Amino acid sequence: MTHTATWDTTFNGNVGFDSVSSPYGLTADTSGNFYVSSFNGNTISEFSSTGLLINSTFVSGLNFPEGIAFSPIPEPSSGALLALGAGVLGAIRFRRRRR
Amino acid sequence: MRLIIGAALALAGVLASAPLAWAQRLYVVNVNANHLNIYSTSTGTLLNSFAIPANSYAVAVDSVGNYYISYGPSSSTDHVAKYDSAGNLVTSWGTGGIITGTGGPEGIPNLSIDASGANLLVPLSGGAINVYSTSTGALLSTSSTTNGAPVGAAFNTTGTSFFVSTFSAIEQFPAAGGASTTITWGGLLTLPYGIYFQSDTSFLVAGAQLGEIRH
Repeated sequence: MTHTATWDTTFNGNVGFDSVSSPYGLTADTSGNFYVSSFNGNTISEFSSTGLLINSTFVSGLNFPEGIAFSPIPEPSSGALLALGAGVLGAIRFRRRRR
Repeated sequence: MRLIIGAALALAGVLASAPLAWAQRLYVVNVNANHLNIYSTSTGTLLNSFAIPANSYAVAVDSVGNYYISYGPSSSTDHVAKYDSAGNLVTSWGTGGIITGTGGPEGIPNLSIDASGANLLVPLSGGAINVYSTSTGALLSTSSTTNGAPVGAAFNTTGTSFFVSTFSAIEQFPAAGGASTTITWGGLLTLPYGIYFQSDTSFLVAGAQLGEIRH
């Protein structure tokens, strides 16, 4: 393993050492974006897979966050649930017409 | 019959379109609040919050949604607890059991489950890195670092080895057991802490002292 990059947690992909907030925990989603818990900053920050800061306060208002993990199980979003609901309603209507 | 066919077609349509609409979940140990928070990764919205023991530190989630929490400020209360996806306690290990005597998980942000889902990696502040069965809690192996106490650990993506941060170096262990090799990156590591593998050839390390992420 070779060291290939350093990303400061306060800026966009540049090398630097002026950050604060004690990054402790790391995880990533299936698209490669990764998340960092800031123990003293009480936030979770989101970065792209190349280290670009997407959202420094993806989650805020925490009380000393430490370990973080990503669920390998996808959850249906509201759009999928809406489509499922429409499908069920369509089936019910179809059934009523049959009667 | 037509109803069944219609419903099946509707469901098939939903499933076919679903991959674009699936979201995933981010689990966060909110240490001083004694809760595990679960967020949507698409919106950052808090979806759920489960009470967890005081002094909880790390979380790992398996492929069916069970989650594992390490907790305990001392050898008398060190545990790993396993919960189902609804937040119900399934089992816990510790207190006079297999964790006692090897140092606790206090302050360590990592637990890691390997690619098979069968093995849970637990770094302990006393210097050991234990691997437990996720199904039975049985201790499967113990390794020791050579560069100080572990502060983070993770399996690589194929589960053939695991890496441990020790505040001064990263040590790579074969999953099957054996001596570690040390990575120092020419002195660039500054209090390496949490570890996450992007692939088998790339991982991220949180530099706790200088607030950086290295890879």
